[in-house]
Amino acid sequence: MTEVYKLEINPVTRIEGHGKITVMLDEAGEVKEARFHVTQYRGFEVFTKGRDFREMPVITPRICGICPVSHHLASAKACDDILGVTITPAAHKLRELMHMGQIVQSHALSFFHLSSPDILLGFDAPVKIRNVVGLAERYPELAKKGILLRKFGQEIIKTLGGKKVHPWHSIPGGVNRSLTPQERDNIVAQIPEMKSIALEAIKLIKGYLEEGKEEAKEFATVETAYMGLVRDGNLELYDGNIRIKAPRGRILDEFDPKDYLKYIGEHVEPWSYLKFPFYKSLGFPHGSYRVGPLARLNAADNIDTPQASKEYALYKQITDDGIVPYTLYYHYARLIEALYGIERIEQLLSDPEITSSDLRVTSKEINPEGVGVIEAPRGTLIHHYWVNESGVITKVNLIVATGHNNYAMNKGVEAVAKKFIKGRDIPEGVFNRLEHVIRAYDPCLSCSTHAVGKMPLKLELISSAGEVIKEVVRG
Amino acid sequence: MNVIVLGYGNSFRRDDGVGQRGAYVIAEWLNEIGHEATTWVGHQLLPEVALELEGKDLAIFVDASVDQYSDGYNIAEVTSSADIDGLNLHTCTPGWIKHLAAQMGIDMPKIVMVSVSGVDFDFGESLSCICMERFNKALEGFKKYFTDNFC
Repeated sequence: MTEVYKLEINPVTRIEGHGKITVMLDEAGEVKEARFHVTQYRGFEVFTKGRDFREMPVITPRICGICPVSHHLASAKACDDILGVTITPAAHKLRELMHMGQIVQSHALSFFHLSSPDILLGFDAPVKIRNVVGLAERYPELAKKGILLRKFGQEIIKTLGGKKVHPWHSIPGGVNRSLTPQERDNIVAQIPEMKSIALEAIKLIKGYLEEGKEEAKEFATVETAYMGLVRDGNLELYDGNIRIKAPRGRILDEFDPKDYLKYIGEHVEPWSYLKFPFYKSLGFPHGSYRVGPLARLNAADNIDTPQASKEYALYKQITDDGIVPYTLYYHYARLIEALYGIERIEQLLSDPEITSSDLRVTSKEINPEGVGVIEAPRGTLIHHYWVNESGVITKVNLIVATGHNNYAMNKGVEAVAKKFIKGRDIPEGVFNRLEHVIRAYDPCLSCSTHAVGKMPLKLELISSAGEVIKEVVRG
Repeated sequence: MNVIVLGYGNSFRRDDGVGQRGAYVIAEWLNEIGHEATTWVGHQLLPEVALELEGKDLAIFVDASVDQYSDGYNIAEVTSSADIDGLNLHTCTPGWIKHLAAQMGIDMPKIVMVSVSGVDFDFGESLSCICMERFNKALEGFKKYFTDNFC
């Protein structure tokens, strides 16, 4: 009789929040199946019922300490929808400015702090050095630049919202403060250096991917559709339509974000709190799609800022059809987006309206529901609230980036497990490759399950009878 | 002397907020006696804090502690440490920040840690009376430490 062993990596490290990878092995050491579990539950959709909808832009950012701005803005947009208002151009620009600060800081964190140690020091490098300190030891200037880039984005958030984490700037109908000319000039002065850092990082990742081209293309690559916001076909992170493209690049649909329920369904598996969203017309699993930087660059036709557009054109040349399916290329796409974010910041700050004091519109209207959609750093973020005639929340639906990518992360983990695991004695670097599949998507598990947590890495090898036959704890 | 005082902790978890509050008080005292002191406060230490140390003569970290020190507080020089608990970025220590800064070639100021023993880390924005009293003692202790070592 074939005995089945279960190998667990719990929790996955250097992502935000934590999850667990389980790899099922048979007696011969061949991988039978692999799953990425999310085992936490926090329930913002439940405990916000009964609150006034106007409180949601302050409550929902608490879902996450890394991308609170995304929740803050998606929530404010949903509240605008309930009020039935279109915010002023100045408020729109200020919100987008904060959003670009968020994109830049989060992408810098993902690449420089979390993922580049694997890439630059190697998947098989000792655990003790494969972190940001190890990176600083080997590449001190690069580490410093990465930190500077993140700080740049964070300072924009702090300038507008009072603090870097859980800022408060957007309110239903607009924003609560403008930007002074001096604050604008302080940011503008840093832009040339930030562009140069982003371009240097793009050069670095291009070199890395080119050097290990074949492995990079094989690593956890899965065939899915792609989803992202676009405006006139251009990459868009704050507004626009949701576009879904097929794996080879055909546009399957493009629709108003408010209609997302007509197009997106959610599949549930008993072993994870994280749902599996899919494109309804194709059903589950065929309608599974990806979101985030790689998906956004696939969903769009162009980028409308000068230097990011040039980099995007080179990026599209990687494949014949211009669609890049390779999971490791998420890092490349992320850095092109960071450059785009810096250029958008420059464009927004060069607009005289950015210092306007026309910040808010009011309304006594209360529509029964409101939808706010934004491209968070990790992918499309949907906030949908239903309210009664007094504005009290009766129902909430949140779909976050990590949920959209759930299917792809699972399939990617399985692909890597099948390629690298050939027995029970598995080198540490293999575990790290499994984790890196997840890390490439830069998931925020705090967001996806609305949970928080931090534990050292625990790895268990368990027999089918439930007996722990091997346990490794690191960190 | 060019000093940065870095206070960290969750100001919504009662005594955990002593780091942030204490940083402002220590910086105010340093400015009163003629030094140039700035503050940095946050919920937690992050890698970018390493950049804040650049160009300073002295860095003072202030934090709450679950360790119950005999005097209610502890003042010690920070030594460099590459350890990072759990291999994530939520648990940076002053020693880890010092190590990171050194790796990046930042000229190292002297670094001092002021830890104040807390007793109540429940939800709330005010410090417990015990923690407040301990911080007041820590402030006096710090004044003496500073005078003995840096004046």
